[in-house]
Amino acid sequence: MTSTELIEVSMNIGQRLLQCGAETYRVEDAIFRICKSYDATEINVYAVPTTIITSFTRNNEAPITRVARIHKRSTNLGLLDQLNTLCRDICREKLDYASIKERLHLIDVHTGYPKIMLCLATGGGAAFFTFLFGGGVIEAICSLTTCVILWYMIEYMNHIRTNTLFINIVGGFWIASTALLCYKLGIIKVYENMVIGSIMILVPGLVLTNAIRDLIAGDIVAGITKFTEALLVAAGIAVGAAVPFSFAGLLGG
Amino acid sequence: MDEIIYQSLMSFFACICFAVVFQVKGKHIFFAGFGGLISWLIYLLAATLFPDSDIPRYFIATVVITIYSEVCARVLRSPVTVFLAISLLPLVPGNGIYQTMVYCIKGDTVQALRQCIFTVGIAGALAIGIVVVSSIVHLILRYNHIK
Repeated sequence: MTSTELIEVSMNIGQRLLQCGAETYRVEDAIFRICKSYDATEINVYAVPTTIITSFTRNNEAPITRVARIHKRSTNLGLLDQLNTLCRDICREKLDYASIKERLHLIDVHTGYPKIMLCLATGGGAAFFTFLFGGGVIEAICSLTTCVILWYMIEYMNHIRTNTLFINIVGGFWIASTALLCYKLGIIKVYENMVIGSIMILVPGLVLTNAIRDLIAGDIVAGITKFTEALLVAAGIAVGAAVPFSFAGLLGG
Repeated sequence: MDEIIYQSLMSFFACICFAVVFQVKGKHIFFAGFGGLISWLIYLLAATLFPDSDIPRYFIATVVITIYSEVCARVLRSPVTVFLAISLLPLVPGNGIYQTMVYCIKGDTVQALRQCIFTVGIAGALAIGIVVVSSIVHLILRYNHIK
């Protein structure tokens, strides 16, 4: 494998790992190990949630560096698992360029769950969280319906590349207004547990926890980036939810 | 007691749903969901130990599920995150973030700040719980490796 090919595959794997929501140290570690197992020296990897920079020298050649910019991130733990296995295999068996490419292609064509299932699972998650926070059956059904529709809205907005802040404003607005509507129409007695249950699919609790983990682990920049991201998402939901709540307040709710 | 079992079961099903949303495959879904059950169960049971404060309860629940996730990861040969991220979901301070913004909207700054600090405190307790356990696991593995 040539140095160019090595940096290409290692960056490719690192980039995918970061996109499917791997921790910063895992991304850095994966690239480092792959490069090391092909006898690269002076390996330096720097990863933050939006960028990866890798640099190494090999066989007394001039140092080689590459930068990757990451625009879109989501949580895809199945993909993370597969990439992790691939990474281990590369380090252990020193696969050649063509077979790594083939394995990556196999991971690509290996599709996830069908959309309808993801949609129902989102609704189901919201419904069970509504139960968990003390809601009854009717509240849970309301959350399920709300979140199934919300999932389609988010999917559409992602499709037309709307920014994250706006998506969360719309999400917060939608959840708060449907909950208040159900409350006003007398379908549900209390709206709090329905709002909390539904909003669990939007709130950045996991991002906030991961941000603090990164900060403790010493990846200060990555931690601050995630922290800011969490704040932005929370602000978006708050702004969205504020509108129906204040209207309800004005109308004497 | 019935209430505790009921809530833990709901947490289990919620985590299974989220495991599907996060594209977890096969039998990993069940183990990730079971982590969610354990986390909420420990959180509720710890109420008898720490009746006055919430943060130690979150910490203990996180310690237990991090150990559980490390074991699952070793046995099922998968990254720890797969189990940890999902088991952690019932504990993450979604409610705290929500309450913070409700107080913000109402213009009650004092309560909003109180809630905000409490929320960051919970997130900190979760993060420290994870870091402590994974560092200890790392130390033990290193020690066995050197020996």
